[in-house]
Amino acid sequence: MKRWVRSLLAATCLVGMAGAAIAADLQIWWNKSYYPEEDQQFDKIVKDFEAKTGKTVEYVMFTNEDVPRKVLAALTAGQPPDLSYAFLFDVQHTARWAFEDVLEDVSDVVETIRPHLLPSAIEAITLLNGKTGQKGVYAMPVAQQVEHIHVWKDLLDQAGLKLQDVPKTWNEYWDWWCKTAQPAVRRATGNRNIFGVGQPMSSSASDTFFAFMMFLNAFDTKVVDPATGKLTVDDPKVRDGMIKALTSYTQPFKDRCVPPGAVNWGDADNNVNFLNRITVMVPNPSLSIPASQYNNPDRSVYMEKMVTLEWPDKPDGRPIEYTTSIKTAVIFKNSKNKALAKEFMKFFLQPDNLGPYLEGSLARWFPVDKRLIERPYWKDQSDPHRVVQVRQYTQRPQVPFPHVHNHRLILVNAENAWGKAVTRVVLDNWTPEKAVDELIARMKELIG
Amino acid sequence: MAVSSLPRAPVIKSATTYAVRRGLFEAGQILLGLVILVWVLLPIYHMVMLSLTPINEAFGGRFWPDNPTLDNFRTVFTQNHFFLERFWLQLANSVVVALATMALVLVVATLASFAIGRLKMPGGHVISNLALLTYLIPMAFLAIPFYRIMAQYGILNTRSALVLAMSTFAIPYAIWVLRQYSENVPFELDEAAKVDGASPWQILWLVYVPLLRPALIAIGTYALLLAWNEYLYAFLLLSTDTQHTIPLTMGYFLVTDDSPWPLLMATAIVYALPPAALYYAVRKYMVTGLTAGATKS
Amino acid sequence: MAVSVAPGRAVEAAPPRRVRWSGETAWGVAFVTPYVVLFAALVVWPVAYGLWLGASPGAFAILFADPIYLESAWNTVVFLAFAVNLKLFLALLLSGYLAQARPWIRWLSVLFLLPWAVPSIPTIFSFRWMLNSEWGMLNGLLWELFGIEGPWWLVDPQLAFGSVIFVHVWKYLPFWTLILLAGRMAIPTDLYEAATIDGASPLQKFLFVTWPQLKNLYVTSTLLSTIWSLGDFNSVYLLTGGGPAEKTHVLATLGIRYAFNLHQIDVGVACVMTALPFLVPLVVILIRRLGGRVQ
Repeated sequence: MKRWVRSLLAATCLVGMAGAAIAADLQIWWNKSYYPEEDQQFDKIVKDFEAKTGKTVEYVMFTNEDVPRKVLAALTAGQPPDLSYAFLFDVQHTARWAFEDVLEDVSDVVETIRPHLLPSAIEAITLLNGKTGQKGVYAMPVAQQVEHIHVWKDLLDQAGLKLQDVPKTWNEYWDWWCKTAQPAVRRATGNRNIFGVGQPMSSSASDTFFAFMMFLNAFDTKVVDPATGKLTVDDPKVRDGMIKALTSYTQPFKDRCVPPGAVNWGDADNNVNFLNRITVMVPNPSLSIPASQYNNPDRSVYMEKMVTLEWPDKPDGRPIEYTTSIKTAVIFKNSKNKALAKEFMKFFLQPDNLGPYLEGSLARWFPVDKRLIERPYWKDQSDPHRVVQVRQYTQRPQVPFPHVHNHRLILVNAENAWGKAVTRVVLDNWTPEKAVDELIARMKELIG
Repeated sequence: MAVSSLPRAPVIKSATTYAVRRGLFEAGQILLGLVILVWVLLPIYHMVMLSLTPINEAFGGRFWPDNPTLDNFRTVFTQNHFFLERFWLQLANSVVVALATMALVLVVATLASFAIGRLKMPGGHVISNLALLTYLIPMAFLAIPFYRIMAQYGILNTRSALVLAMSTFAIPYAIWVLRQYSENVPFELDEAAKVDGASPWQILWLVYVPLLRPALIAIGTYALLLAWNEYLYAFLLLSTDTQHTIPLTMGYFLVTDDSPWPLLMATAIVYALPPAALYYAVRKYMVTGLTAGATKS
Repeated sequence: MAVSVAPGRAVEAAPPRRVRWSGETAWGVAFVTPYVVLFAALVVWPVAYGLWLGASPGAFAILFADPIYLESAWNTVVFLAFAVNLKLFLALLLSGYLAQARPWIRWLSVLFLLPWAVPSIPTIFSFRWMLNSEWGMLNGLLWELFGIEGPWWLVDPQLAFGSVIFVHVWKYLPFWTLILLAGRMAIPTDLYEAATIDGASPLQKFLFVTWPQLKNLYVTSTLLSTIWSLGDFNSVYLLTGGGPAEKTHVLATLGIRYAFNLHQIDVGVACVMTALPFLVPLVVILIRRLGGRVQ
């Protein structure tokens, strides 16, 4: 017995200590997707690259919020991966890293596809380096995302409501979901815990500020002057617009049309609650919700029961602009194998690779390379969600995130001061005026 | 002693009053037992209930699923979900990390406590006090510098890093418990063995270790559980999913939108069984071993 | 203190002169070396490095300017005051209950240890979902059984923080009950027998026998538990993630948020270091109590 125990101990010691990872030629940290299809496409590209170059690639997938966390830890330790991609990079980190001279200039990679890129993509990757004082290309554009709205049409049917009856203008639109749809669906289903609006209300979800940007657009409010990059929040008109946006944003919660748990939601929770039919309608900054039902054996869920909608018009009836976020991959200055990382990205960004990758994401993301948009996949009229999405991206006005004009605004996103203002109103019962003033003060403090 | 100065109870109660009081007392005991049972088991019941719920019914808020199923467990065992693709490998990682931590803690703490407590080596006292200083900065607090240090040592993203981190936190407690426990082992045994010409090494193996068995088992279990359940350090120190332990895999489930929580719970139950079984097997050592020292101070 | 003196030693009038081997010290040094190396590499160096990281005064300025910091510091105080004392007081009571020699109580005490033995992630998530205000099991039960709309457990900041304390107590109560149970077991039964002969009531037995014998252990446990609870990251992070609106953070989770969400490592370390003025005296007292008396 004793001998057995002793040899067991010795054996585990050996195994435990000899567990060092074998170093590959290229280390990639990539955002794990919600669906296997997207990951499988990436895996295929990696395998093809390995076959083509004879180099070994090791890639690790982390969840949305974990990639930035791991990268931050690794940067501190001076051991960043060679290449990394995360859905949250562009809104919370990239511009800041560029400014702090942490990123490798990747203009030679982008050069290979530059003529085909949308102007919004080029704008988003041309970033200021604080050390050199020059703008350079510090990120590689992979895809873009805007806000969509999804609805359970079958719940509306059950309640005797029609999508055609949904008002088109802003204030009436939100009121309808709250005051018409919610009571009707509750009555029809006998479920007292169904909510009209699945609006994220937390300071922990990036979804909150993605949606909030749309509310700012609805009230024609730009917190940064696109020409100078200066904050405009001292302009009473801007402050007024922010107050209107915040009031509009929080009203459904005040009217008890949003699940109270929304104040704790992470990025996946608006999806989770909608998919589990806790909410009738939900805004979401990618097509991930219908995509998750793409392989549902019950095809009617994807094809009929769930519907994707455009956002409503502004209060005065003008069409709304969509705030676009450009998803970017980066290479770090301290990365070990920068040349190979660039070679990989040149390979990855080619239409034959990136095209199938984005299509493997089940239309969750939209291309920024014009050649990809021309592929038959996006022309397909039979997919009810994709048709709406293509229309949103190609026929509706777009605006960039405010941080594109002033990189320091990324700090406001990173600590989610937007979401904080929302919680001030819904949790602390502050007036929107007071919450906006706090937000403005914090913005100035962070931007300096 | 204060006890002897107590006044004697003067009244002798009648037999029926006594029986009623006794009955009430019994009822109270059982009631309290039930309360404890519900308190302990409700969250665990909730886990089990969820693990038996079909994935698309996780949002029922029910006390018992409408259509209970074992499918979730089958999915876990067959690795039939893309978060669980490497379930068995990662379970093996958990086992390796837990056993290696246990081994390292036992070896290092036994040697150190023997040197300090029995060999009375000069400065030993200082060392054992220093060990307690480890608690000056609680575990979550050391996480930030630890990451950097592991990178410097070149063992980032290896299971060894996690083993070392867990051992760092288990060893001081282990040394302390072992020293306290060994106080009960008479020094005369050492002295006798010395007179017979035994070397310190022999005394360690033939006297110290056998007599400290309960404490060693308890400490080993403690270290094992600590490493088995760790999330924060595992998250920071391990990157590749071939190095991951199961708590990291469980972390994936929170950030996906199709809410496969029943699967998470099934995974968790499978994962909780080995430590629960181990715990049950060594429960009597846990009390005597882990707490021999504690009872004295 | 007198509880566990080895019986053999008290009898000896004069212990025999210690026999020394040649090189006994060398053996000792050899045996203690692995620990000293680990200690230097994994405690001294990271701590020093951490202090260096947190040494920038600018970090403290950012920290104190952030309203979330003060809130979290206050939360930490409340957390320690309530969670630790509640937990140990309950442990004191329960250890008396579980010390009874009845078969079903023995079984109960085995089950009672489960929360401690089961990993944190799933159990705390289990709490999190059970407490969900819209579709959690708890509010579901309240509605079905009593027709009550349950409270918004994790939405209301006070209730959410209360839930954090509850979960912490649930998770760690078994361990401390075990410790105090062992303490009770070590009290010589003849003290109780004498008290029974003297006609002491159960309360008197507790006040005059149990408590004096257990007091030291209780205080030590409180100190140790305070230090460990200060580093309890899981109860907060897994239950509320610091939310809603970052109102339920404690220093441990806030430090991680700064370091790994906001990329301000120095502020994260500074955040954690502000606990030192409180922690250092505790550790000093603890070392005196634990280390000092082993001779």
